[in-house]
Amino acid sequence: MLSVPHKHKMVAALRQRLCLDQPPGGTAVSRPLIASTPDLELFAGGLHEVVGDTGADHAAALAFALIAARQGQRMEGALFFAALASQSQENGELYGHGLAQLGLAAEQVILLSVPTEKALLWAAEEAASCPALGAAVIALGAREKLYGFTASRRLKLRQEKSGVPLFIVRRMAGEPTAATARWRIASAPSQGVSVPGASAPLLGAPRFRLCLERYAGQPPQEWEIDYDAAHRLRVAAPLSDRPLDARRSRGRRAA
Amino acid sequence: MQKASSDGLLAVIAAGKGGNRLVAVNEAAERAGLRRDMLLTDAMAIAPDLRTASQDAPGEAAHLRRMALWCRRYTPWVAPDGADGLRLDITGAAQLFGGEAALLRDLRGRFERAGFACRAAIASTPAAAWGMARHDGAALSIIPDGQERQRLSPLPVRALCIEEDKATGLDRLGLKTIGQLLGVPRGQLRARFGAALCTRLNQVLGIEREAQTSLAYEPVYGERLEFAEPVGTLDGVRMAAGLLIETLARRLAADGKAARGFTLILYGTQGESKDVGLTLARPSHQAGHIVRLFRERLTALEGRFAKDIAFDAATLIASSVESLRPAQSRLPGEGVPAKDGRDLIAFVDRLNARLGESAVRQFSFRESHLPERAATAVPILRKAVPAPPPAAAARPLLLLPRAEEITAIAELPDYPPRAFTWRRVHHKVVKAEGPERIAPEWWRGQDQAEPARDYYAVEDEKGRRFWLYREGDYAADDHPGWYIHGFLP
Repeated sequence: MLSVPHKHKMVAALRQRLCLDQPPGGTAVSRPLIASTPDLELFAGGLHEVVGDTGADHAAALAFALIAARQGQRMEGALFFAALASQSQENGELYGHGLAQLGLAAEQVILLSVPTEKALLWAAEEAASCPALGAAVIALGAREKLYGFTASRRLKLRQEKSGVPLFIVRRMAGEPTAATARWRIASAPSQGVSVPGASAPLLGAPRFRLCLERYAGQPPQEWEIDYDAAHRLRVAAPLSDRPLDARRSRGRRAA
Repeated sequence: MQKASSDGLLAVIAAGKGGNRLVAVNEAAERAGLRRDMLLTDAMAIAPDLRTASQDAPGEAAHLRRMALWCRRYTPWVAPDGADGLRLDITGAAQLFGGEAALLRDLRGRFERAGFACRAAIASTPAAAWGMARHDGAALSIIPDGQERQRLSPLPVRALCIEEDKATGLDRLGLKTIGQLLGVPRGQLRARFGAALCTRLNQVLGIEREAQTSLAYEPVYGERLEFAEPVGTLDGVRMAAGLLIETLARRLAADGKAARGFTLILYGTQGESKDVGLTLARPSHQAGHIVRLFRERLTALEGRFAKDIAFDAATLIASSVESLRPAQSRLPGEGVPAKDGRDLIAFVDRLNARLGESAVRQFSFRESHLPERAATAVPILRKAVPAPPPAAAARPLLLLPRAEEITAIAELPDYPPRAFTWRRVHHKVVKAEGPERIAPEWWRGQDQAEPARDYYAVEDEKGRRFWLYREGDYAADDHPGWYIHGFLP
């Protein structure tokens, strides 16, 4: 049995260690988010998960992951994109001519097509350990058998050492993982441009409903953002506070 | 070579003139009086309890080829000879094995352990060796330099590898041995039997050279390793690869060279060989890097190693060897500072080693109207064509490898669709752009001409965007096809 003063000393030492414990590399945890736009500095590091709100929003999720990756891309490093070969007909493949609209240069992209989820996660770990990469985007398949807390923790550890921002695009949100942030995204109707004489308005800037679900224990935040022609994410509509539930507030006052 | 067997009388048969004939017989059958080329019916009359097996010519040829590849442990210059022989050019290789006699003994020993009876001969010309091996009494023979005439003279004329009818012709004239043939003046031989026979005699004596083929090529940078005991585990193979790589890398570095391709050949105890190849993004002579890549490659191939294979030798060959010089084509992102550039190449190499050489790719572009041909992905080690300036019209971020059919409702003649159904989901089109007409590529030939496509970028009621096209006109065709080709962000 340890003596009481000795135990106190141990607890005090532990407390001190925990208070001083900061995540190495990555962004500072304590910086508050600006309420009007998503903090783009977030994308410069960390392990991010991007999930489409519904299965049909997978294209939006992929687009957002690429936008975020470009935002966080370091120096002249290449953008690494890995996907499952079996999903190529279901979701489509990255198209070379379509990259320019996201501000990406085709010469900066390294593509990988793998047969299995195991190979995909192995490639993700290799990418997370390669400090020469600018950013990495990994598109998981519809059925996740291997990705979970353990796999994400391994990726996060490697990512922290190398500093390469990692974006995992998932089809469904499962249990909590070790990711720095989890984003949920859905397509939203854009602000069209009406042209007289045309049967339908022209497409406007792509609009998304973006939700930062998990980040540093903070409550979820939502935005409606546009991706404009200058390759910037801008808030389309201001965030409206949800009105307090009238009954609940009445109940409180009564109590 | 025949597979030696001692259970009863056994013969291999194949269809021949007049019926099934014996292709090969075992010792017991030979003692009973059966010979090659005998009719099966005759053979059964002599020995009613003869067992037969059908000849599997393709299987035998494949097996012979495998054995030839296995003989690369002695020399890279090997080729099958006929249906049952192997030809090896061991110039300069004999001293690695302790001399020609030791090499022959080693070769014969290994074949016998694998269950084959073999006869072998070494000579300074391939024709002489052929003759000795097949027609001399001894199972192993060596003809020292300069003694060809002496050793070959007693051999029958057939040992010159000439056609059967020529041999019988010579026989009938009383020229039964090579010695007798050499006694005849060449002019007369040529006049009576043709130039081919004289050429053959010259080749046997080394006066003329014979063309050689080989299954493998001669490497300049290669290392051999013989194991003290057969190795059967992956770890053992890894260790052997590590030792070979270190030696070879040191040699390359000392000569100021680096290589882009490495092949590890493992030789089994039963006459099989396995090749493990590796291609690098940049030439290298860094032993550590290459060792790690081979480790990845061996791990990836682990399932393909048969369970009970054991190897007793290995060679490592470097190919695409070049002097060190700055790289010409750049990998994506290679503009980073030197140390990181090396990291990137190591990363790409590791992916290639584990997943195959065409797994890692980069974009390459083509001048084509058809969107599916205008941009492709090529393996990263190949040259890529850079992107052209972006098109004015919308392009999808994701393209389906195969455009999928949809049902769509649109106003004539070429207004964007009002609604469409895809994968059983109905979408109402709220915004649209187009048509963008993409004409067929008429230069690719008439039969390949497809109808023109009108592309539309549409947004549905939920804000999702699709790239659709209509093939053909309503004017020409009552029901032109509608397809979905991609997704826009």
